[in-house]
Amino acid sequence: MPRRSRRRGVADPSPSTPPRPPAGSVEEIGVPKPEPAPTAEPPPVLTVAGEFRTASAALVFAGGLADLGNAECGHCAATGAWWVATSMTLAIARELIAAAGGRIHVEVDGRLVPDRGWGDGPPTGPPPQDPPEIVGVDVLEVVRTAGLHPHALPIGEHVTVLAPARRVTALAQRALDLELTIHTRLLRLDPLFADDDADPPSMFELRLASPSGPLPAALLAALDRDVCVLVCRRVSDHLLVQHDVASPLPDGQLAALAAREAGAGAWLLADVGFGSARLTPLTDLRDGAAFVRLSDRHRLPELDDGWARIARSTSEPEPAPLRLVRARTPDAVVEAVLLDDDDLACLPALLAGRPLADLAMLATGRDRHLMLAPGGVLERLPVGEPLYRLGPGPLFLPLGTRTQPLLPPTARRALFPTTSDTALVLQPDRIEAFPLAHREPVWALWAGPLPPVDLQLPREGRRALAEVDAQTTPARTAKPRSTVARLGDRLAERVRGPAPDRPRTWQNEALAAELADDLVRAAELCERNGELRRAAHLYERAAHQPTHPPTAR
Amino acid sequence: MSEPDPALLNRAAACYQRLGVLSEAARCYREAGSHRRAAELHERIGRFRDAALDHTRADNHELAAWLLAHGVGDPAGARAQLAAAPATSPSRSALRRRLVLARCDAAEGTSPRAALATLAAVCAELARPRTVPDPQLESWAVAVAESLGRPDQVALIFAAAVRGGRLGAEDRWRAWMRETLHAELVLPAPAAQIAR
Repeated sequence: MPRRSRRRGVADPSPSTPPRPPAGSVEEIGVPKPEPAPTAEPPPVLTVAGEFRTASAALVFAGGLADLGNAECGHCAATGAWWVATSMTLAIARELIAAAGGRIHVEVDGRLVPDRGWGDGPPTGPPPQDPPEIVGVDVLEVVRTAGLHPHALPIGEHVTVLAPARRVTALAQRALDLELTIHTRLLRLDPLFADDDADPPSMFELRLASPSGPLPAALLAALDRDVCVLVCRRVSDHLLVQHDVASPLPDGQLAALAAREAGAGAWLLADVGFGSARLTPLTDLRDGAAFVRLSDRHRLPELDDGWARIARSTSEPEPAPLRLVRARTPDAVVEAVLLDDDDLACLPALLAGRPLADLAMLATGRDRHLMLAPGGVLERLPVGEPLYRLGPGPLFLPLGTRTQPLLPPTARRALFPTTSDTALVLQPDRIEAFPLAHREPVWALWAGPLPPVDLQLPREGRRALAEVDAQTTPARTAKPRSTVARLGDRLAERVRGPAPDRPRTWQNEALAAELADDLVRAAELCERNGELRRAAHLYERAAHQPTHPPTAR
Repeated sequence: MSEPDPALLNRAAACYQRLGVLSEAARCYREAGSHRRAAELHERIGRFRDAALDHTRADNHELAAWLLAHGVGDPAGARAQLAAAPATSPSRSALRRRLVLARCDAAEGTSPRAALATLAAVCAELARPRTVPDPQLESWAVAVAESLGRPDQVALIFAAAVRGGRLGAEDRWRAWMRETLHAELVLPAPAAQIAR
């Protein structure tokens, strides 16, 4: 029920101005206190009706309503006017109806009275003497009367085409040529506004979609020129509208109306060239590629024999062989150098007089040789192949390579059982092993045998020593060995190899500790002997050693 | 992958430092988590952005911001660094933040009014006797004044430091005079000596 406005002089218990205090009081000369804002009452909701000269104008007003279900449409045969009635506040109704070019009426006591144009309440004047006779009509009838107007939209990624059966194959072929996806189904087209049709036609619905951007404009233009097909835009699952026209009722309102009225089918709205229809699907959607036909020469063959052979040949996946591949090794440093005989001949000229000569050790092999140093060689020599240590143990790889597949330390330990006495160098086609027990300082390459030592003792000293020697040494009874026997001794020594007891130097100890993965001890030896760079490198390696127990700070 | 042993990395860094390879030493210190030492070495070799990163990791945001503003010339980064830093309560820290912002203003060429007010506050702090000296306050203020092209402000800062009895302030002032103005510093004798 509409409420009465306060402007009409109805007594209102909440005054708009605060009561004046008594004259001479303190509050009168003080700062006035802010009064709480009076609560504004919402404007009353009335039943209003718009009178429009055309159905199109009526739909423009109806399109502005939030819910078309609350509106009722009517038609006055005498005046030819179209009416739309709904419930809303008077101020909003005035704006919407005026925008659509209509006249506003307000319901008062069950009768429509023309609005006076101001105020929130209904008019209070007498009702018109000769009220119009309005007959209620369906919204769809208003839509039909309003018709469709041209409406240009940008080309989208989807379009729906209604086509007869004889055009479907060509259309599908063309769409596939343009790399569009296409789905089709068969529809029955019943009249939308009439009640029944004895023999409704059926057409194919083709849904074209472009997976990469808008559809080709040339395709749409060609389809437009074809009088046997209709290009539509799919507003919703229940509404198709011809693609270049629109109803005065917005698409959203139309789609809601169609969803309410069309049931399981859909509506088609198109202009006089094609007409509107009620669509009922007869088949399910299927891929349009089914319309591409092959000749009978494309028979399906039996299982190829090759597959069966392959399946029988291996029952388990075969692990890939370990390979050496090129890879960036920016953090690797030269820890050893692999040399051949020619490189070995150059080493004296390269290393004589350099600090590395004091540290480097050489494990000589048949035709390849390995140069090592405690803490690494750490220099790029112009000869040989630089190696870095992959570990664990003395396992080396050429710089710029890695294993394929990558191996964790446990796998490397299992695959390459290195010891501190044997160094392994991985090459693309082989693994070279170098016994380290017979390593020699690299300076032995150019430091040849010394000349004989001539002991210069004074005569008295020699005599005294001879007397002591005669008294302490028993007389020799064994015969001197023959030349052949001495040669045999040399051969036996060569077979046995040189004695493994090397001179006890810090370099040897450091290298032995490093080969035994005792990197901290090797680093400490290097640090103690002033080889700070090697010591730092060994400390770093020790810090990153996975099995190394954490050291207290 | 297991974490590297920080103690061994520190030993490696010490070896690199004794060898004079400061970049490698800083790298090892950083990996070991010794961010202050890494920052110090990065600053010594002129890698101010790395030093700022290390100071940030060591929760020394003001120093990081100063390096970005003064060493790298990145006032936007310095302001972001200060904004990300948690607010600290001591007034000295607030003064350092103001100096960083003043250096940013100088780098961006904005109005020097706020920077001059900051320098005046620093002078007042330096002139206060019997306060624990902040080693960076004077040098940062001098750098801000020099970046503003205001040698008079530099002189005021040194004068405040001398009045506050900062150790070696007079020598630093004298050296700055010689290097920048090519002039000898002449200071009046203290009042006690004049009375004698």
